[in-house]
Order: sequence, then structure tokens, then C-alpha cells
Amino acid sequence: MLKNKLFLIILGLIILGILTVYSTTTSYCECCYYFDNKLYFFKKHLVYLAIGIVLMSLFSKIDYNILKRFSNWILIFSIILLALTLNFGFSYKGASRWLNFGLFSFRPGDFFKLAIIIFLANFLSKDKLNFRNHLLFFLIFIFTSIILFRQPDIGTFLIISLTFFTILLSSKIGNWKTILSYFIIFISFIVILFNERAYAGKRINVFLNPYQDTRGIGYQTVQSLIAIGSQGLSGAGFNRSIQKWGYLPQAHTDFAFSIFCEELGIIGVLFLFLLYLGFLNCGIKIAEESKDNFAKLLVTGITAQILWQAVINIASATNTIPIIATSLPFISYSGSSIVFTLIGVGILMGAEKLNEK
Amino acid sequence: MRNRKLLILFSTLFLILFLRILYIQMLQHNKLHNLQKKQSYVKEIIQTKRGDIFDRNGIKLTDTIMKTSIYANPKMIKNTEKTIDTLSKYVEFYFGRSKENIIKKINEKDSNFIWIARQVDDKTIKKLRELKLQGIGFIKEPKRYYPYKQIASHLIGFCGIDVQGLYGIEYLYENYLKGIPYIKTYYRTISNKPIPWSIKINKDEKGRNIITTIDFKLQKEVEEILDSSIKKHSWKKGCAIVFEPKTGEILALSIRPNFDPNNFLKYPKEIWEKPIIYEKFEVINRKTKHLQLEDLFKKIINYKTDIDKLSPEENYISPSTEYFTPTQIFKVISILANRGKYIEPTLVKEVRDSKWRIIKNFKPKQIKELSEEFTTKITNILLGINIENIAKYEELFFEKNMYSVNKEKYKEVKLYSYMRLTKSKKPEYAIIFIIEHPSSADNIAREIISQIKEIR
Repeated sequence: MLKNKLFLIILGLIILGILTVYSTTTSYCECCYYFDNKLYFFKKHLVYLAIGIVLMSLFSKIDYNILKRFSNWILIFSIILLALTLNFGFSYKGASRWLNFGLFSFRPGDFFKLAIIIFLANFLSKDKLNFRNHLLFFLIFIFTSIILFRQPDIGTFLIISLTFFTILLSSKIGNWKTILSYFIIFISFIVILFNERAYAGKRINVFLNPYQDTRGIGYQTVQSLIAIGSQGLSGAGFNRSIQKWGYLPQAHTDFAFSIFCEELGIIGVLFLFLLYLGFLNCGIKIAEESKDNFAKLLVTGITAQILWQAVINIASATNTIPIIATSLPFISYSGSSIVFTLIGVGILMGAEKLNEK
Repeated sequence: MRNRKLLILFSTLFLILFLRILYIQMLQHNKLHNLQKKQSYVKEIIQTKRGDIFDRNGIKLTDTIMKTSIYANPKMIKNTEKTIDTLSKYVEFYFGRSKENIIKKINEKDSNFIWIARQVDDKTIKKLRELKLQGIGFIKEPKRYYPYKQIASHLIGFCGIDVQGLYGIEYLYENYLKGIPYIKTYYRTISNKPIPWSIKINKDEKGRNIITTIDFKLQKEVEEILDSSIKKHSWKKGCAIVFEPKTGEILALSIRPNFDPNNFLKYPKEIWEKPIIYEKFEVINRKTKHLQLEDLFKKIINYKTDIDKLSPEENYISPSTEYFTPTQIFKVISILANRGKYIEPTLVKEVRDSKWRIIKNFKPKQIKELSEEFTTKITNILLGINIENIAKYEELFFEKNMYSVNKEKYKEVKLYSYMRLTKSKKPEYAIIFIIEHPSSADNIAREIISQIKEIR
């Protein structure tokens, strides 16, 4: 029953994603200019989706204990790839988050997000942590945060941190003392790193007063709000967005949700939110039914990560928080990101199968 | 338990976000909708293409082409004197303005737009574009084009620089020809292109086409006959009309001097302000002056037909006086040709829309039977011919002296008319020829009328 429910929810999200990617990429975006091919991104999305679905079904058949056994190696490999972006990554709009492999480009951050969950699930599933464990974890945190801030990829940093706290909260060692001490470290780290980046302050200014400079720094926020609000509750109808025709930058990636709102209105939003909450419900149930602690935390981590990403993306688009660049899981065009999201879903399905046995 | 916390946490977060979206879509909707409209909504008033004028067989006598005009944006020009000096080498300034006048206007800088030259030829535009003069822009606008130049110029008339009819059928049927401007609204993309689904057009009514009664082939030949006669006898002012009395349709109307409507400004204004057909003549001789014209006749002759209204100038004179214009005499000839029946002379057969559907059909407006006695009387008075019984005649040829009262200088004009009367089974038609060249007028008229008879 649950298996079918999870499958239907994922199917629903994938279909909404296909429609949104079609609408946002075939009208006006970089592809029309750089590649002279309207369907360039749409086709690419379908290819990534196909790869993702194949890997999802593959991972749904793998015993998660294999992941547990290799969790340290997976993390080390993902950190190496992440570090490579600093020297070998290609830069796009001021951020160097991608590695190019000729036929396809790949964002190590997406792989890292999954690898760190597997690692954390293993790490925090222990009954007790000694000082050495904490120190090791602290060093990993510092090192990867520096890489993510150098890229910069604040979105991934924030999602990973929030996912960490969610897993910690669900684990046995997650007492309030541990959570508080990690929270203090996290906040002080953010303050130190933000002080180094001038644009962070500007973003907070825009967040507080987006209409102050609608043609300059507040442009993207205002255009996103126009997309969400201009057509009212009913929305303009599928493929009838006006903002996607060049007004809203990154309309197909980070701000796809704004276009989604503009076209499908409040009913579309409600449907999407119900799908996300349905996914959360499935994740929680699988976690509850899991027999061992690692599986519980792994499933919780994957579910929380997808939802945190959705919350951050939607909150940015609606100016509920300052803009933090991240894609909306399943809905935005996100290149290789969808592959890792679907692998995560595959792991969830695998855990579900083991529960049934 | 811990997982329930997770459910509550995310449900609360999604609820907050949902409320935030509701707030934006409900309470900020008007503000955001106006912002979107301000940046991407476009409202354009579009002038539709002007309709064309055709001969009775569908030959197109007019056309509308796109020409480039030059304007200046005073706020963008850097070196006004130098720019205008350069332009003066290539174009004639709009409204015949002088170089100094244009420079003065630009320096006033009270607008963003000043016409420099309108409807300039393509070669000059190409050269000027290459010069890349700062603050000088180019704009495409429609221009009326007359492919047959002088042929039927007085009939077709011409349009002004803003494609508004000023003379001839262009002026008389302006309301049909001009088309109705329509409003086009759409949302534009950031690169200024309309977003296809958003385009709304309230009405698309192109100008209607005017189908004249003119037979272009005959018109062209009459023009050639007059041209060769002018060459041979060097006369200047005159007019030839060929018409079908039974329908009132004018088949050809050629007036001299004529002009090229493509460049009408290069000709003296008198050519179209006072063509010979609107000149005032004394036609009643002293003996018949005391005879009163009947009311019915006055009404008929006073009725303004197309041929009376080709020029916006007030040319019409009341027949209560003893003076008449050739167009009024023309009506009398029409009554005579129809053996007492008055059929109004017409220039336009029908109006058709851009898809060639008939919008309006013009039937001769007035058909009045006049008594034979009356017809005899008025032809006697006005045409100076004494016919006892019109029914006897099949063909009629007569001449009539007319005396110009328009200018101080006494001027004699001769009117000749040849007609086949409507009883005959052959195609009935009438030819009228008026000439201001009394010394050898007889020869000229006979030559011209016989030549027209041959081609008819």
C-alpha cells in the first residue's frame, strides 16, 4: 500500500516537474540563445530523468547495509570531487559548482548531499560518540563548509546543515546539549563566513526592502513576487506565464516555483504542497518501520533533505527568507541534481522493501 | 515520537509558506499586477492599410508602399550644426524648413521628436544609415503610390503625407478608403516581442476598395489622343469625357493640364484647385436670358454628383444665376442623350472590402422623367440647339460657345458634344470635349472626337 503511495507521489512530482521544465525552458531562456534549440533543456531534463529512474529502481534493489559499509569511502570520494570544483570546475554566473565531463556536466554538491547523509546516518546511529568522533565530524564540517563557501554554494551548505540537525534530532544521541553545542558552532561559523562575503549583507537588505531598488539588486526578488502575485489565485494557466519571457532570471532553475505559481495559481501550489507532505509522510512511516537505527536515520535524512531544499527554495522565491540559490526538487530544471534526488528515493524504496520482508 | 516532531515541523513550514503565497496572491495582487503591466503590457494603435482604387475591370490604379522617414531626437544629438549640415546635403527638410530653422527647433529641445525629412528614397536612406549620425533615427511609414502617374490623375486625385485623401476619388471616398485604426494589446517579452497568446486585436478593418466606372484601357487611349493633339496644336486647357448616358457611368475623364499625383507638390496648385470642369461660364444668350428655369430642372442641375465633388474647393455655383460649370452642362447633355430622362452621372460602381466582398453598390441616384417639351426647351436654352423631336435622332453632334467669367480677361471656351441616342441597339455613349483654344478649336475637336469614336 505504502509502496504504491510513494510511487504515485513521486510520479506526480515528476509529471509536475516535466510540465514546469517544459513551460520554463521552451519559451525564453539561455538555450534559445546559446544553443539555438528551444527543446535543448527540456530534452536534457528528460534524459536525466530517465537515468534517474533507472538508478532509482537499481538502488531500490540494493541492500542499504552495503551503503553503510562503504559510507566513509563514499564521503571521501564525494569530498574529493567537491574540492576539484575549486580548481577544475567551470564557472557559471559567478559560481563554480560544476565539473564538466564532455558529454555531461555534473554537480559534485548533489553527490555530496547524498554521501553526507549516508555518512551521518552511520555516524549518528551509534549509541554513543566520544570526543574523537566529535572532532572528526567537526573537521569534516569545517573543511566541506569552506569548499561550499568558496564555490560559493550557500544553498547546499544550508540544506546539509539543516539535514544534519534533523538527523541529530531523530538519533539516540540527539539530546539538547549536543544539539545546542552544534547549533552554536553552526551559527558562529555562518557569522564568520558571512562577514567575509559582502553580497550576503546586500541580500538581507533586499529581503527587508525588495522595492527599494527594483531595477538593481532587488530586481530578481521583485520579479519573482510579480510572478507569484500578478495573476492572483487562479493563475494564468499552463504555459501562460509572462515573467518567464526574460523578466525573471533563472526562471527555469532556482525560480521555477514562481513561474509554477504564476501559471497554476493557488490550486497548483496546494497540490504540490500536498505531494511534498505526502512524501514526508511516506518517509516518516518507512523510518518508523525500519528495524535498525542506520536505516531509520538514512530514510529520515533523505526525506528531510528533499523537504528542506523545497522549503528553502520556496521561501527564497516568496521572499520569506533572503535569496538562497537552490533548485526545487523534482520541479526545477536542475541537470544532474534530479538523478541524485531519484537515487535517494530509490534508497527509500529499498528500505521499504527490507521492512516488508 | 521524534518522527511526529518532523511531521509537525514541516507541516508548519509548508503552512507558513502557503499563507505567505496566499498573502502575495490576494493582498499584493493589484500592486504586483500593475507592476507587471507597467513593465510588459503594450497598447498600440495601428493604422490599417488604405484601400485601393480600381477601374471597372479590376485594374488597380493605386498602391501603398512603405517609405523611410528621418527624424531627430534633440536630446540625443551631440553636434547639431554639423549633423544638420551633413543631412542638408542629402535631403530636403520637411515642410521646406531651412537649415537654420531646423537647428533652432532642435536647440529648443522641448520634445524628443522632430521630423527631418519624410518619405525619402531608399538610396539616400542607405547612405545616411552608413553615416551613423547620433540622434538621427529612421522610421517606416506608408506612402501612396500611383503606378500610372498622369493617367486619370484628376479622377484618382492624391493623398497627403499622412496618407489622407486630398483630391479626387481619394478625397471624395476617404471614409471608405482610409480604414479604421485598431487597438492591438499584448504582453511583450523582455526583448520587445509580443508573447503570442497575449495578443488581442479589437477590430481589424482594412480600408475598402473603390471600384470606379472608369475603363482604364479607354481612359489611357483618350489620354494619348489628348497628348498627341496638344503636341500637334499646342493647346493647354481642355477636357474630354466619355460616358454611358443610359447608366450614367463615366468611362473616361481626362483633363488638361494634368499632373503626376506621386509628386503633386511640384505642380502649380491651380491645376487641381480650379480645373476647367469647375470653371464658371456664361452659356445663355441674351435672347433667352428672360426665360425662367423650372424648379425641377433647377433641382436636378443643383444636385451635387461625384463629378462635382472631386475637389475640396467650393466650385459649385447655383444655377439660379446665368452661369454654369461644365459639370452642370454635362447633366443637361445626359438628359438629352436619355431623351428626357435624367440619370445621374456616376464615377463609382461599388465598394468592396479587402476580401473583395461587395460592401456597397452605387445605383444612379435620381431618375426623373422630363417632358419632351421641357427637354426641347432647356436644350435650346442651355445648349443652343433647336430640336423639334428628339425621337427622330440617332446621333447628335453640336457645338456651344461658352464665355468665361472667371477672370477679368474675356475668354472664349468651346464645348463640343457627340452622342448616340439611347434608342439605338448599338452601345450608346456620349463624348464631350471642352477646349479653351477658340482659333482652331473646331479642327481639334473634330479630330479628337473622331479618334475617340474609333476606339470606342
